[in-house]
Amino acid sequence: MLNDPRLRKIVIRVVVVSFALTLLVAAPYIAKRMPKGEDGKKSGSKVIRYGTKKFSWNTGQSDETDSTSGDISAKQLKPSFGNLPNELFPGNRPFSLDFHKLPLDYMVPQQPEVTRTVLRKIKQFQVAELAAFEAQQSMAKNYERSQPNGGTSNE
Amino acid sequence: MRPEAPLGLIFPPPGSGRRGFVLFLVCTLALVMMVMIIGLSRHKSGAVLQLNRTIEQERAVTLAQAGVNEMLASVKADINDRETPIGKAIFQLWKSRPAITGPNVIFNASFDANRLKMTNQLVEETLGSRGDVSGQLSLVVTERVAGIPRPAYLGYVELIARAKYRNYPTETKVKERREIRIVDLSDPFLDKYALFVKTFCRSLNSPKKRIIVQGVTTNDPGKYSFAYFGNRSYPACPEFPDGSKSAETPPVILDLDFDKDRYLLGSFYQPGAFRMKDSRLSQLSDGNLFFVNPPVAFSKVSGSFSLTTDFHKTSELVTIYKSIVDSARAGADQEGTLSYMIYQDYLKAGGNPANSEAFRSLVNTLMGSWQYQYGYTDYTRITQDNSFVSQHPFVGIFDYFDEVAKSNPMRATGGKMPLLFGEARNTPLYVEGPVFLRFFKIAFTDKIEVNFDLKDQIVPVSFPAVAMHYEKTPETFSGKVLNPPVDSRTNRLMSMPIEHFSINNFFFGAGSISAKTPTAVKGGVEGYDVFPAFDQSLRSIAYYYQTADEFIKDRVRLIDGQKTLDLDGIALIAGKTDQALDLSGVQKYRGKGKIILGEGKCNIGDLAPLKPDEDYLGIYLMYGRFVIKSSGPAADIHASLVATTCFNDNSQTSASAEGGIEFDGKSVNLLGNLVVDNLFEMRGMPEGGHLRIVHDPGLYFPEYPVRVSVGQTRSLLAVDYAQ
Repeated sequence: MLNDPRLRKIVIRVVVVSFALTLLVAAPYIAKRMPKGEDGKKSGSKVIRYGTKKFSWNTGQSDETDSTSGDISAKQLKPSFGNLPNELFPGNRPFSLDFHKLPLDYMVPQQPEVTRTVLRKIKQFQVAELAAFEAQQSMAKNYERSQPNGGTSNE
Repeated sequence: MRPEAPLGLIFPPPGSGRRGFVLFLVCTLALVMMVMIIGLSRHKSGAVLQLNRTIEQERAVTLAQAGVNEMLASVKADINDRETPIGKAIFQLWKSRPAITGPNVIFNASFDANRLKMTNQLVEETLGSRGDVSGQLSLVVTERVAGIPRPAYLGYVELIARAKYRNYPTETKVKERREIRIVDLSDPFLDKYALFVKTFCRSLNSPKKRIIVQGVTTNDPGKYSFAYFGNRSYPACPEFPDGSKSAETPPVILDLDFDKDRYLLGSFYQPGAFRMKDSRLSQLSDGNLFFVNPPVAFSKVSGSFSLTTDFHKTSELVTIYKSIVDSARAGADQEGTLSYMIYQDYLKAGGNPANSEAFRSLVNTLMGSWQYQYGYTDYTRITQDNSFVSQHPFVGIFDYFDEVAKSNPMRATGGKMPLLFGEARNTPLYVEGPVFLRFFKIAFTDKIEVNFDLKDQIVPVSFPAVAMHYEKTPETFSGKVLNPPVDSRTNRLMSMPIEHFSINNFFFGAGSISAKTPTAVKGGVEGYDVFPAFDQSLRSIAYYYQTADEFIKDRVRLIDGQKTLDLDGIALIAGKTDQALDLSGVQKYRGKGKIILGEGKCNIGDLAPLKPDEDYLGIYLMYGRFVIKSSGPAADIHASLVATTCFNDNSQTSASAEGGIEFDGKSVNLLGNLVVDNLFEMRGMPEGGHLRIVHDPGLYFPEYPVRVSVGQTRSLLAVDYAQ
């Protein structure tokens, strides 16, 4: 039947027009059902709700294992307590764990090796000063010895 | 009396041969003298002139030097005041933190005669109106010291004074340089902590020696104080065989005191009593629970259990069963009676309740009638004299204490947690370290009256309450995981500690975790590896002393009749182990500074700034302890106190070498912060004493933590004499 080019042309046209019409009718519905982007998720509140945003936090583990978001950690919170933590500690406290509010220098400690270096230097400094003091005293003694009459006036 | 010479010999009569000789002699002598006088006068006149000139020059130099001194005094007075022009220049430098590639003049000022009043008054007194002294000041920054959280700057102040005489066309110049050190005394990482304790302290929960921390309060919910409690030197025990180095991290447990900490519990604080058949027991529980769950039908969870495996080890049930068997034994010889059947079943089961049909029937009946109850209490209520938990059926929690006495005695100790959130418990504080909250669940099934169905015979029996015993590893129905759970918070029936919630849950929501290491975005260090920031080049240190006595002699002044610590930047005291830095006699300080003591203790009592808004004191003991010496019962200290020793391996230490605080019978009120290795169980603190730390916002968020120290000695002195 579709061997007839005129008929085939009509069928194609009908199919295309029906598809376009269907798309037009369904467009608002599809738009509603489309997944929202990241912006759509942001609420007006500045407070981070726990379990909604990951923050970078050092737990002494590798990056793969220390995804320490606000999600309940199975290691720390035993699962046997069910909803107790949520009842005991409602998550709507207005204090966020967004440590980035503090400047970076509040977050990064100085390495202990610096303190060790300082200790070594202080020790060296102390020894050097003591040696200098002893040298000064011995010079003073030598000077006194070299003076006639034990360093007293020669009048 | 000398005989008079005859006149004729002196004046021989005219005509004699020696006439005119004396006159000639006199004239000759006079001539010689005149020649000598003329010669001497000509010869020495230059020297006299030179002497005169030298005197004038030295006088000019002295006056110029006075000018330099007056300018120097002005610099010292103004350089740390950011309202003055020179102070503003320093403030701008601190704010912009520029890189320094060479000598960079950041401030210039001229001092005319009117600005050098004292010097020119001296000129007036010395020379009259024949001269004046003027000067010029330059502040030059030569170097930026990096490697510390906030850079320090080194440089010099150059002072040039010019003394000018009206009589001389040229002027006498004196140039002097003194080194300056511009240091930012803040240590942002450490200053954010109100309290930092590295080593495990087993008396943190002591109800008689309280730690009270009042964090900063700001309008910004993202800014709050921090505290760190480490577990270094945690005692080795079967649960943690290698102490703090065990595979699992030993916890620092803080015991809730529900009465005092009720604010923290919010709406979960619902004190009440168990609803029990025995009103005496109900009354006993009253006031000892901060949350009571209404009775729940046991049948709701009975599907989770096996009659053959989950009940035969429960002592209460076995006792009931055995008492039934014993009572049946008497009539067991009469076939067809209930007693006979029970006893036959007992024999058939070989005495093992697990195999007994009668036991299973008993349990099945009980499960249909039991009412399960639980409530929450705290360590204080459990351990007090005549505690309600010593009464059956509240005794299930004792199995926990029996168990931890063997596996980890540290868990058996407790009390009331420190007041980390202020006395009103309403100030957020982020707690770092493996710190967990603890309270306890008390659970049981109340006594019941049931009709015991034994093979077509109904026997009314009264069954006592059954305690839900703690089981580390589930052995009975009490410890078995329920599916489905009783309710959203209970999936095991047993009495148990609830000790796995981060203390941060209170203010930071239910998902908060206990961070083992102190704050760091990435690659942070362990708590025991945290030390105050230090310029390892030591170039930012303004004063160096060999001994603490040298420091006291130099830096303690008598101001208004009061011994006052005069702070001026960073002072390093090498110190000796057996010599203490004794600040106990000093009650005031002024200026901004940090005292770093290499070795030795520091005796400290009441110590406050003269100007609380401006002055700053930090004391860092690198190998020593603070010893509280105060005339009153408590020492009031306004300072940042740090006592922590750096070892080759900071993860393990000997307590004798650790830094800390010795209370010596006193309480401490500290406005600032405290960083120590060890609190030494607060052993010197009196019973009823306290360590109250109010985190100083001026320390955490300092407005201007900068001190400029001007060198005590000249680094250059040059004199240009007038010609």
